[in-house]
Amino acid sequence: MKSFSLQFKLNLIITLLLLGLLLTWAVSVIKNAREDVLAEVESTTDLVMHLLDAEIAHYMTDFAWLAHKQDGQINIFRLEELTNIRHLKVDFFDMRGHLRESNRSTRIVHTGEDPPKWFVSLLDISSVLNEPKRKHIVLNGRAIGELVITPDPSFELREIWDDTSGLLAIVGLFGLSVLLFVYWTVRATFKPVKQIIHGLNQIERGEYQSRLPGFEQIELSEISDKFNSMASTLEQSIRNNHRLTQQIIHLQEEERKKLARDLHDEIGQYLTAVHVDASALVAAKKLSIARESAQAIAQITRQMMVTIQDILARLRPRVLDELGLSLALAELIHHWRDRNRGIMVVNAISNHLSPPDEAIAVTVYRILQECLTNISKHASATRVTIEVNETPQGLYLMIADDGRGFDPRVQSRGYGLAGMQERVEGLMGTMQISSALGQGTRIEVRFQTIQGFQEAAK
Amino acid sequence: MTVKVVLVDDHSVVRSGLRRLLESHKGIEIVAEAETGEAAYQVYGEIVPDVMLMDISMPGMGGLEAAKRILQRYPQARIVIFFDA
Repeated sequence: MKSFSLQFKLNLIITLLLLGLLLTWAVSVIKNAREDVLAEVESTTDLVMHLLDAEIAHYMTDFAWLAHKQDGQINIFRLEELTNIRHLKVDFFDMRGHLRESNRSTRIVHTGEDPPKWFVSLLDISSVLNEPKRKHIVLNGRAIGELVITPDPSFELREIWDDTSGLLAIVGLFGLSVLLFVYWTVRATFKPVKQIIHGLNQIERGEYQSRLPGFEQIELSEISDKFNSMASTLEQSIRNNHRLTQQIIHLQEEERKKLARDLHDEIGQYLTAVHVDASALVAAKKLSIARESAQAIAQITRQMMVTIQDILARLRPRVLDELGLSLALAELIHHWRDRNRGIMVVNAISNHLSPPDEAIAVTVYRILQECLTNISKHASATRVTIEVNETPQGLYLMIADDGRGFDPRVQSRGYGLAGMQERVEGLMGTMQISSALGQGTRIEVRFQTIQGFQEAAK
Repeated sequence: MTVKVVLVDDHSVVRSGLRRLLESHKGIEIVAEAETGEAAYQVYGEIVPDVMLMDISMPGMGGLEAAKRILQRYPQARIVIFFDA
């Protein structure tokens, strides 16, 4: 049954049920008909027997009948006159076995078609009724013959067949129309299923604009609604995916451009200078001039080392791998403080920060780096407060300054902060920027752990 | 007879290196330095050197543009343009 469709199964079950019902009904009709025929034939036989008994008793007291001869024969029972005994053949045989009287010739014989053989054999009456009833007739102590009564159910059978076949036809027609109605209804009911499957196939092929129409059936219309909202969510998220991919490619290109610019601007000039000085060194004819060039080379390469360290630190903060987040942040702040001596830094960084996700550690580091760069470049702050702590619920980072601030509506889309915000959101974190002109800037970042999410949901 | 040279580059380390290199040759004299293309154009007009040595990439007007302008104004000018790494 598993490989058949629900539609087929429903049709099959209903057809079988209806057939079973029809069959049961037919069996009971036939059983009743059989009983009716038997009872009728039985009672008629009894009745005729009684009548004939009465006739015999009459003859034994009144002998007038002896004068009543017909063609030299004595008609004792006048069986020719028993015309309306439809279910019985009544014969009288004399002692020599000759048929003397019978109702055969005058009996009403029905016309028209006989019931079909299968119907007759289904009723199975012949086996019960084939036995004729016999009665020896004794008159004045002398046996004169034998009366044989043979039941003939054909008349009754015909009647029953007439009744039953009509009924069978009506019921059959009714059953057929019920089945047709059921097929039609099931087919109409299952039409939406085909549409739903078609829609699902479209989604599978990536045609996310596929939508289902509204269905009349409440359950199906609910499915249709859910399908449509699922499809539009899918469409939306695919679109978001495309957008994010483009954004990532864009960011990657930006990074590369920045790196190329850094390498060109900061390393290129030094390399050119070293090359020029080395050439001067080669061409130098006086020791003092050679020394000057050598000194210049030493100085330039020293600066190159610092610059390359800066670039590498921007590319990948190695301290993070070597020292862990707490020390890396402390190191970052320490260096920044060295370069920005006029600004007071108050920091509260937990000692053993260990975010479960390495990407979170990098992001926290980068956000602090970006914020400190922004503060030293733009904020004109006198005081910076930094707080980083970690609880079982999550990690919290806050950087606040008392600088000139900005209007977040205008500037929050600036490359640095917007990029940070995307990074944080990409890691399921939240980033809140509060700032106003002249009010300083406060940036808060939260990364919740699974436990934190569960507790927040309560 | 000495060749009068003007150095144009936005990086001082490069300029001082070039100065040391060129001054080690007899007959070359660095008469001026400029940090931008605009300054180079102005300095050329003031000094009219024999040769102008100019970095191609500088902030603002680049070396190429500066050279074009100078040649428009002083078609006899001799300008050497170089690329750094």
